[in-house]
Amino acid sequence: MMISVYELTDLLSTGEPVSRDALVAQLRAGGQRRAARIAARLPVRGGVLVGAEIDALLIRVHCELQRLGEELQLPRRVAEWIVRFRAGRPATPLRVVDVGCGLGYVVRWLAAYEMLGPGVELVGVDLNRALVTRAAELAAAERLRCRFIAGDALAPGVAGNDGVSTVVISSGLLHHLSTAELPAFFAAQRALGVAAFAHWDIDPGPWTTLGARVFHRARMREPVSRHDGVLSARRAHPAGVLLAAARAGAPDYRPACADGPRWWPRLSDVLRPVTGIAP
Amino acid sequence: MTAAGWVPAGLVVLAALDGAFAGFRSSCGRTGLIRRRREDIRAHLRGLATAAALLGPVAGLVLADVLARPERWDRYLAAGRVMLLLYLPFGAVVLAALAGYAVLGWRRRFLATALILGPCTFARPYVAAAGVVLAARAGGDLLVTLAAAASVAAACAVEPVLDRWWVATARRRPPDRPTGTASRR
Repeated sequence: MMISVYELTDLLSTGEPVSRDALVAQLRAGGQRRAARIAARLPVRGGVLVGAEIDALLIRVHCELQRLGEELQLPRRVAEWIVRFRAGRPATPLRVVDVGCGLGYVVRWLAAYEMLGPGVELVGVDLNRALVTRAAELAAAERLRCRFIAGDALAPGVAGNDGVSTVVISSGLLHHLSTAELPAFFAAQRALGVAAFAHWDIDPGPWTTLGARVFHRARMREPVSRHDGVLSARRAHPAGVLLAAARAGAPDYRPACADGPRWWPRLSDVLRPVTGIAP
Repeated sequence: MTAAGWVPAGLVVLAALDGAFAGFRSSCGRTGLIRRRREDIRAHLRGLATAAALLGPVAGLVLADVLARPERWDRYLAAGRVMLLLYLPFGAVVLAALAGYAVLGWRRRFLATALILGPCTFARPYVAAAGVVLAARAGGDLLVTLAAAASVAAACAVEPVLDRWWVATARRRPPDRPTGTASRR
């Protein structure tokens, strides 16, 4: 069951000027007192959150988030799945599009270690221009062969539907969507005609929430990171919800997703994908 | 080696390791870069140097006290011994987890983090504080207790001090540098 509470990064990443008082009131009204306290300390000018400061904060939060991806070996998991998918069609050029890529950690890692082999184009897309800009800077700093686009990855013409076989991936994105929004998310990928999708997100459960609490307390510095990290684990969708949404949005894509037993910790599969392969 | 030798030597080794790891932790999640082995080594050395700078004065005061009043050495030794008895197993568990991280395949590496390294980072200040309590009981002396508390406070301060260093460094750098992110704890 989706919990109707907000992660601060969602509310800060709207792209529109955000009134701090309105933000704090919204969080208080939803019973999110801790989030409201964090929001009340964000920098403002004329009552509106300072865009440059918020961009810098989001970059810091995503840098910390990258550490989580490192510890969970996320890019290796993504690479393993794509390599397996590609094994049946090795000669076909492939584009991998990371939706909601943030700082593009997965894309940059795949580019750095070249685990997907030749003929693979790596693209990261995010709505937040500041994150995408920093992702491109980081890629340039390490001379990585990948590119980043600010925009809606699933809108026609942004990152796909030009005839190139495309795999759409994401990590930690699905819990930002409500249960009602999920079918449209999968339907948009089907409409683009992607060859496959694979979206990694948290396998929800009490152990995951406890682990998120300990990990974020021990490792993260930004209060926003600590708040959102724990909330992510609580908001994550169970496999049943993701499968139902994938079947509704992309019924011919053979979706797959599996959760472990709820009370048995699956430490090696804290993140698991919902996947679908075109017919 | 006698107890007079291995107790201070053990504490120095543990403090050095703790400082190096604190330096590494403080550097994590800062730059967003993928390949940063050199930066990681620098971060460990920075932590080591910071630990030495913060713990050096405490060690100096203890040494001065012992030189002025040699009969107090046994109290310091007793306090140090119980601290070591607590910290050594904790350190051994951490080192074993790091060894596991190094030898386990990538799929199982997360186990070392999830089961040991993460919870140990979480528990570290509490274990450190428990060492002070044990040292106070074993030393039975206000000055010994203060020395134990000061040394633990200094060890725990390494990471926050380096966090502030990161913030200051980021402020000095041009904002468009990819290494320019930092945050206050």
